[in-house]
Amino acid sequence: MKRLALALVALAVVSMAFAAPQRTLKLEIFDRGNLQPGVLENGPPAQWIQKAFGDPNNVKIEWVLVPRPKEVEKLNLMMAAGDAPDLCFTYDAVLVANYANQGGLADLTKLMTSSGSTLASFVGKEALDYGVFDGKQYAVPGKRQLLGISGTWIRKDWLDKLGLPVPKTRDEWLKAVRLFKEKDPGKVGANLVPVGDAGLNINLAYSFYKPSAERERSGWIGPSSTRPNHDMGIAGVKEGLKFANMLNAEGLLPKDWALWPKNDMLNLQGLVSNGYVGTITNNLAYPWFYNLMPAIQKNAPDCVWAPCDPFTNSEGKAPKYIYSPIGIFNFVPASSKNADLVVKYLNWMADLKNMTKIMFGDAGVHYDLDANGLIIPRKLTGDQVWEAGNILDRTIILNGRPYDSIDKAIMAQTAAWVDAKYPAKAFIDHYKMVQKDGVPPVRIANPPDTLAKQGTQLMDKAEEMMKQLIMAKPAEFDAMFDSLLKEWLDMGGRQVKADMLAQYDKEHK
Amino acid sequence: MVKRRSVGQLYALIALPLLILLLFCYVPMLGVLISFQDYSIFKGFFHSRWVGLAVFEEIFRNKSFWNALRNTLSLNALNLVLGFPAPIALALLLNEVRSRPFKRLLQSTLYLPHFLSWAIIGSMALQLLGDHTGIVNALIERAGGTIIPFLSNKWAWLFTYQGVWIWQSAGWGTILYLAAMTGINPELFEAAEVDGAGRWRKMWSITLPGIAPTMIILLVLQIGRAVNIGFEQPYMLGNDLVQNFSEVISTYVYQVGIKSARFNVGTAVGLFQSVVGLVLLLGANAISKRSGGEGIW
Repeated sequence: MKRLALALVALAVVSMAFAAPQRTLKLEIFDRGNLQPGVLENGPPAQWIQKAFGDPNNVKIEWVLVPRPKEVEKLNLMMAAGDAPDLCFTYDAVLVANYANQGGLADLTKLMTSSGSTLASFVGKEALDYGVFDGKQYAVPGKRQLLGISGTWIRKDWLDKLGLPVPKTRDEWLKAVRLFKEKDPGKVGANLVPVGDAGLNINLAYSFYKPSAERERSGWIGPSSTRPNHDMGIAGVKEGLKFANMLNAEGLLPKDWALWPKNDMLNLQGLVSNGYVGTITNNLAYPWFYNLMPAIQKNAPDCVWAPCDPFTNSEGKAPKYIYSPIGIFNFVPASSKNADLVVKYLNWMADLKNMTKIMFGDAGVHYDLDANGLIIPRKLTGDQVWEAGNILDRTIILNGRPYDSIDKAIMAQTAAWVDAKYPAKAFIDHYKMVQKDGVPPVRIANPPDTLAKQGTQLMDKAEEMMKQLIMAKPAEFDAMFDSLLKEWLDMGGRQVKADMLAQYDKEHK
Repeated sequence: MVKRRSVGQLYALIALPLLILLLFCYVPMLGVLISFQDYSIFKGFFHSRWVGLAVFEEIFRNKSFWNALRNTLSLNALNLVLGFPAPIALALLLNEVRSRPFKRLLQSTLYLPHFLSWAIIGSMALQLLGDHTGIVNALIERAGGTIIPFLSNKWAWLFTYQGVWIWQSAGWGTILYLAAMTGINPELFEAAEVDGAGRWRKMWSITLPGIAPTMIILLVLQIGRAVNIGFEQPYMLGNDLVQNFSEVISTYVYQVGIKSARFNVGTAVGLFQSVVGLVLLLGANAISKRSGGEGIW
């Protein structure tokens, strides 16, 4: 008996010694400031991920909140301090290349073959290639479903009152917004804002760019090199700014828009939701405009928005910038010891069953499936809610919804707003317009060092200069543009563009 | 014996604060070395390549840096002219208020803005002073006047900046002067009254000389801070239209050092700023002492 007890104790000691200790996996997540404190770290999806992935693998999951508007700054600081989460991400392609080239990222090549097969086939080779630097898989980009970025809407009810068709060209659009101002068809008085965009909207700007070949575009500077509206040196920028300057001088833009903070969304949202605005260009990936629909309905019951695609260029096309087929870059800092767990986690997430659950919860509890196979979230309250906020933020390997067709993805995204005024077709038409004549960004796999060092500064400066130019007195515009352009090129614009072109040539021999 | 032990106790008492000072103020100063490195966040402090003065050369070649330096100096110079006298004048006025409860009420009201965050003041400024959406300009327009571009014209913005600064800080700044005033011997005032001096005379000949040492010390300190400027105020009050004037050293460091993740450049600018600040402080102190006034040491 004694011996048995002793043996049991010995066994217990040995098994405790050999049982792997619990590991902690730190995962980054965007905090958009729109949820109750604690929901991101401890809400139902977080708890379920712990239960379904963490517990079976003996892993404790910790969420590291990063404020969305300051993600790059915060990431840089965490990387510099060596305490970045095991799974980090950013949309900034230049930053990722910079990290990889400095040896700051863990090489995931082997892990992807050994334990990332579901993940690899979900994301696809095309997207995965964007995460390869120097022949090694340093990042796993998410798959992007909808490539269109920005589309334009216009007040159908105002057009109808004025007897105008939905504009198909820039001239028709200009005529319409001028008449909005002159006739005030919505009777909103001094609050009227014919054109909602603060400054120069990207589609309008693009319609002034001189049509150009891919090689020329490789020298364009924009946020993450996707949106080239922060570059003073593109041929045609001047004409676009002059047009916007004219809009401003005629009082068609929102009042005091240039005093709003950078990336300010609140002011414009306020104007739109009160029904004061005649036309806007909305970012499809962050459809705040759709979210305002209930407020618009309440404040301006007569308001009807119609999609339009009026910004035509000299060739009669309406070119727009669209995304590369990738979403956010996921990566593991070299300092992390949990690269294997990160790949395992993402591979687990790539299982559509798990992904759907993280996004929407359980069928019959949190959502229902309609006849088309669309997920329709139930209207729940309190503890029953699966999660509010941006569901894309947790399922970082897919920028989109888990559907097999784009029409379905759009119908699902807009299901909540579909009614007599806005049939599902309106949203699908809108998306088709957004993608029409789309121009994808030019990829430079290893962006030049000068871009990494000066890019942010050049873009911020270009944004300031463009604001100043649009606000300038029309008579002073030309001289002011020439001197600001020279200043911008001298402060680094010329060099960075030349370096980008040179690198493009090197990579496309 | 007794004496020595009590000295030991005093040293023991001061040891902890000194340690904190050493640990959090002096040891981190070693970090300025990264401004002489081609600093990489992954190689870190110990393994980054040494590049000597290359970072400084890059900064000094950069027009934006000189622009930020010029703005910092000119905003501070303007502040010396407009902002420095404001709390003195206010303190003199407060000192003449007879009714104690009224004086208390005034003081509390004047201190209040000091406790508001610049983020709040910044958005208040936009609500009040915006060209078309601000209340002040709405009133001006209604009265038939032309609007004043408080925030959108860079020259007007310089004065808006100072005005907002005075509104926020002057009240709080009176505290030191009021304290100095209570230190003035009341017999001087009584004697002056016997000699028939009026209020102005007493203010000019007794109160002002009485607070002069305080004024000089604060002046020397402020000159020493001429290259330093807070981050929040220019950042929150500034906007893209007045960026040519509102980009100061602190916002430049944020832009280059943090946003572009070039920590060595940010550090180098900070080091440059500290060296110039030290020179100015020593200079102002020497001048103040040589001209017979007080110095800070």
